[in-house]
Amino acid sequence: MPDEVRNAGHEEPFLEIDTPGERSGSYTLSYILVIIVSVVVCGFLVYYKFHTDSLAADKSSSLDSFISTLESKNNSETEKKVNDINSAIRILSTEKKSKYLFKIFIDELKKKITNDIKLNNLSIDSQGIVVMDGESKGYRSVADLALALESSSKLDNIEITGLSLSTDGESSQVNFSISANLVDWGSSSSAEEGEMELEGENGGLDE
Amino acid sequence: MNKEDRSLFLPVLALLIAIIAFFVSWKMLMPQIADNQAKIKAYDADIELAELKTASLSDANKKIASMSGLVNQLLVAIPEGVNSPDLIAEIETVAAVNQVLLPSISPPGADEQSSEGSPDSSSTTISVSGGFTNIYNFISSLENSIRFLKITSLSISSTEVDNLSATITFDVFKRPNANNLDLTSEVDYE
Repeated sequence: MPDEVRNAGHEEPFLEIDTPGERSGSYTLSYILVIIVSVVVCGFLVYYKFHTDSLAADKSSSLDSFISTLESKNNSETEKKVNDINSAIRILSTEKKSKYLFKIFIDELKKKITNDIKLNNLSIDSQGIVVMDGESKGYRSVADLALALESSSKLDNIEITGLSLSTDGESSQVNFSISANLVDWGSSSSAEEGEMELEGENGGLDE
Repeated sequence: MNKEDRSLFLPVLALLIAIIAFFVSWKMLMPQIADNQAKIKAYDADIELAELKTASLSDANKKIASMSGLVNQLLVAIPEGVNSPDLIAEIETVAAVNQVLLPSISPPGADEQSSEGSPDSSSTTISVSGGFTNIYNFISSLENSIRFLKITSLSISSTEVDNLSATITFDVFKRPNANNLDLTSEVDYE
């Protein structure tokens, strides 16, 4: 407590009520309280500033340690492998949907072609358009083939685009050309029918 | 200045100094404290992410180890690069197994990609000749090959009695480069 404050208290008359000296005493007390509060608050602020400095430094070094662990060779390799697996799965799941199984189509075609039909050429282009050129013993056989192909769930828009009779001595044959569209070209239905599993020691992986 | 004023002077001065000191320290320290608090919050968030990622990597590592056979097959099905020599060797093996002749192969170029397919695919065209059953089996083997490939067009024509020739175009796939790894994101291995 400052000397002046103490001295002021000693100089006040005993039991004198409502004098300027008493007012001065209560003011002084208030001043002292304000000073104490200011000092405490300032001290707390300084302490808290240094505390947060130290906490931030600790967190920073902890984060650096985590990052160096993450960037370690093992973790980088694991992460690369995970990315590779994810990429492979993404490609497989996307491309599987548009994979057309030609084996299944040929199986279906074999069922539709009768003995009096001979296919000379079969082509399937990248748009899923099928063109078949061949020869038969008569027009009826070509019509039967077209009907049989129409009954197939794998083909639509079947058109006989060319039909001509050729004779070679006594025998005659009909040359034909048929076009059609593959129904499930670019969709997953044919892929789902096929056995699309990569057999492995762990059972298999669905493509 | 009377005696009473003099007695108040020093406390008032001390009070003024205390108040000024308080405001100055408030003004100087509070921004630094706020800055530190923001840093701590950001560090906490980053540490939480790093912890999640570490746990996720550890979990992924265990899963990869438990499914190593399957993972290897997957990585063979979609290799890192198309690698024409390997592809040619594989096709030749399939052709030999199915007893078809392989008159020509047009392997994909280094940076070539399929005209219609994804940027991860390259187109290859091969010609084979042989009996119907052999070509049929060859197509079936290609379709079920451990390397994932997609036949995009096929042409089969008869050349002579009991002999066919086929031209097959297919896409092979490769994994995109994963050079830019994001070390702050959580690993998604599902």
